[in-house]
Amino acid sequence: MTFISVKKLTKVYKTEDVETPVLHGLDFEIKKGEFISIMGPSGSGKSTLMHILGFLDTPTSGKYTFEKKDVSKLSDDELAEMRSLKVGFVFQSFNLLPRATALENVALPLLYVRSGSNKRTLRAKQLLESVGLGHRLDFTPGQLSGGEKQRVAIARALVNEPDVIFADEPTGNLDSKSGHQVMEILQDLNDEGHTVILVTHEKYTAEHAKRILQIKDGLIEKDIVVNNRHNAKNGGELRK
Amino acid sequence: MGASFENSMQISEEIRSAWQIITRNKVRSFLTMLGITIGVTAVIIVMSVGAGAQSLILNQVTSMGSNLIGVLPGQSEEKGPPASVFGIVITTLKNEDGKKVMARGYEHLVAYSGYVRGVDTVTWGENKTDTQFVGVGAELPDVEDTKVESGRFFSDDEDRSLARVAVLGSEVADELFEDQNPLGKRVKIKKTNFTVIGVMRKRGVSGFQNQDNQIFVPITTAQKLLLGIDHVNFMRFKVDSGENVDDSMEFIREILREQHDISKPVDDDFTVQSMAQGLEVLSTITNALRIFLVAVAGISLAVGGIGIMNIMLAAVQERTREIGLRKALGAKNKHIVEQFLVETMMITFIAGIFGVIIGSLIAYIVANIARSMGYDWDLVITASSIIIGCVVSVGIGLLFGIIPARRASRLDPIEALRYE
Repeated sequence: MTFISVKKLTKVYKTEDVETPVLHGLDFEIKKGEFISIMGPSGSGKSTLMHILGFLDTPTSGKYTFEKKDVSKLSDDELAEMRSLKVGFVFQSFNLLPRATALENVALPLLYVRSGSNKRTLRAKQLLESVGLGHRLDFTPGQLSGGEKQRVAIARALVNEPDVIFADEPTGNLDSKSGHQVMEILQDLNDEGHTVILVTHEKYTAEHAKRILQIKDGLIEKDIVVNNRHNAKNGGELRK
Repeated sequence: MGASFENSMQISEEIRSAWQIITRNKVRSFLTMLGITIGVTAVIIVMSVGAGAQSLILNQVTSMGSNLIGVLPGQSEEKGPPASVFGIVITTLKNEDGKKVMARGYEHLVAYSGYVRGVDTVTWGENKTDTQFVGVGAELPDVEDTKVESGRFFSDDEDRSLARVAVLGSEVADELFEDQNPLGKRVKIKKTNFTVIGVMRKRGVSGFQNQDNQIFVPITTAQKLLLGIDHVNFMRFKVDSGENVDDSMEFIREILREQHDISKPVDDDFTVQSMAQGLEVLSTITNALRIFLVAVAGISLAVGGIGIMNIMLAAVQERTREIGLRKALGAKNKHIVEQFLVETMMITFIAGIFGVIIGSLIAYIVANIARSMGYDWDLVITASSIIIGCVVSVGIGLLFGIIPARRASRLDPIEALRYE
């Protein structure tokens, strides 16, 4: 079942009189429940692609269909609503509010959907427990390790029960052990049925996904099915 | 759950987080609030002290009596103050003019006195006091509705014969003579010796001056020996009852025109006013003063508001990443606008509360000081002034918070997330 469909997608950044084309016309589809890596070197346009897929940006031309809905031309507020209800983000630099507790950080997206404060707290607490941070609820990001911060960020990405989880270089700022933990959680989430879209420039990280979309100079270079993907649970051993 | 209820849950969350931000950096918040606090303080003081002053004016009307007519030299506008108020000396009005009015025997005019004033140090032996000496006519106790406590007031004959006699206000008597009897003693005013023949009854503050801190001497003596002039500063007539004031004023005008050879009212070189009119002029002046002070308070509020806008613009810049994150997590533009508006309005509201408290405190102190000085001053802190203070401060937050809030809401989430 087609979930995300992209046709002839282009993106051109315009500043004053300089036009910088970033995406040159992409065509691909993503099915529900996929774990896909968007891989490419820096400047390839992979981040721009993720921003468009994650409703943070709009394409210059082409069509982006999400759940049969054309989202290419949505207004700012409609995009915000899509971000709020359909997707969750995990960033390389965590992007947690520094003075808020882990619990408050996780509950933050619920502020922008209709949800009572008790319900918010309860849900945030459950999610923190599910990523193994039940004992860190009242810690602020400064009191947490990098891996713990990223797990808080994952819990936050899940709080609105999104259809897609976007992870933008989620292991980029982590040591390898924490990186494995994060990848393990992402794989588990995918196993539970979540669609996961991972953006990375590292081949090794990308190979945790079931499919790799290799981007270069704003075009899809390769669309690879990963047969032997890395299994984070086994310390990155190839999955049989 | 209904939508409005859920919305209020959001607002309460916004208020909570705004409170956190305000209390996090107390010094900055304090400095941010200062302008608004001063502005609201000024508004409260102006409203309260203005009301106090007005009550004072009303109290003065009742204490001086409304059946007095004052005559000032120089012409004046219908409701404006005469030139003499601004310190311009006009010498056209003579004591004789007043006496001639009385000599016509108009039935409703019961007493008259001309006034000249001067200030000097009065000495008795080693004792000195700075006070005002007032040259008046023999009918002064009648005109001003007061009495001599001990001794007697001077007579018309003494006035005519340049007698060097003085009647002391009770405070002057206390200061110069302490517990001794001043009657018969000789005090020195401007190197001239005066014999004390009486001490006035204690009167407190009336007609906007301390009536106990002055010395009465015969007007002619004051003009010739102390001041070297032959005009009067003003004159007062007492009317038998309030309803005859208007007729009496017209009568006085006619006689004075006759004296001064004036044929048309527009050429009048004097101003006849009833006490009520005089107070009207006073309240015109105090009202003008109030408007001026309100304008100053308004400027202070505007400056405070601009200061807050400035700080909030800086805060938006500082929190660019946070704004980008919130937008990435699903915040709509209105959520961001709300967040910053709530924060700004909270700052100005707290500042306004401080302003109301400080303003009320100062108004309370002013009222106490005024009372201790003998003025009949009402402490007026109305609910409306407190509400106005709060509403104005929140309104300023709304007015000056909207620009920073909108700027925050328009940030591009991607750019904002990249912002270092």
